[in-house]
Amino acid sequence: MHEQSLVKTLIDQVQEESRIRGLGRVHEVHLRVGEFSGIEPRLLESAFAEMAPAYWDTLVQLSVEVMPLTATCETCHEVFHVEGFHFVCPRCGGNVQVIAGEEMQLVSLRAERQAGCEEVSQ
Amino acid sequence: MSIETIPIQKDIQGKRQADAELWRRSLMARGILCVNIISSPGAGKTSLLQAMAKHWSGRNRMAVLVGDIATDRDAQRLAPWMPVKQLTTGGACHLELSLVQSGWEQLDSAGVEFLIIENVGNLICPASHDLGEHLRLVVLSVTEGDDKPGKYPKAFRTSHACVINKVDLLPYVPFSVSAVTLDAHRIQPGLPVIPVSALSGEGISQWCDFLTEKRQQLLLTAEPIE
Repeated sequence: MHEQSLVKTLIDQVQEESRIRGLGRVHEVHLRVGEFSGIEPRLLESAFAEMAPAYWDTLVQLSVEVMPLTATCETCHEVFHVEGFHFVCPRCGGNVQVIAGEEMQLVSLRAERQAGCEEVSQ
Repeated sequence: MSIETIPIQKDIQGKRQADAELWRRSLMARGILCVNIISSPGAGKTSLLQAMAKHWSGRNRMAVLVGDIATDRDAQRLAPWMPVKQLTTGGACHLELSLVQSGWEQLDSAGVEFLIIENVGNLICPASHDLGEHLRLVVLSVTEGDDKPGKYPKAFRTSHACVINKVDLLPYVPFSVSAVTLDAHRIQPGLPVIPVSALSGEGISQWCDFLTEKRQQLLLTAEPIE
């Protein structure tokens, strides 16, 4: 996938969240990306390291948590890790529904917040 | 001043997905079925569209947005058949919704029933970008080999149909339609697989009927939006 365009979207979102919440310096961005999200974490990290200095004067760390591709069987309700992109229940052969592993989620920010600074409601 | 962990829990693609959903609904309300065609370069996306235009010969009105990194060669090929707008990405490996929408504004869209988006030839990145389509089609040609579904799982997992093109060449190439179907069904059980030859016209009527039926289904569920 196109990591640079994704990083630009991420940076815009971090800046918007910081503005809404009245945050100061951002130290760390915590992301959760699914094994089947189309994102390669190492490419995402290098694109972020390259692009972040254009938006922040101080170092912002990116931590990427990879979520395994997990599905549940619609017939026998077995929950399992999808191996080799084989989207069929390994126990009964039933149809499955993916429950994790496709996400690209901004989980949290580590940032400075002034005492007494309340969040602005969105 | 203190350093705190502030929970956000928001999808990075959330805004893009919401925009795509809005676009999908607005097309649906106008009775337009939008199809996003993805394939590797040279699989025959443009030839498939020419074959569809010949088959329908004015009975169903298509408009096409065709994406490429450079040149308007595909738009020139399609222009005699249908309203078409070339989208050049200037190097980007996939189309994004904003580009599609600006192209749509420049198309003659009166009476259009099918909006076809011919994506940039690439089986990877286009699979991760929702263009507000109702139906995603992956085209695979027999000269590419029958091992492709497992190698590009996201393209086959996110598509609603698979057209196998160039079946007129089956006697000359080691390609098994049943093997590729089996491989695709490991990734997405029940994925409709439609063998065609855009060159000879074989299978084109089945593919066109499939699309017509999908549009009729869409019209039954369509609710006008404000």
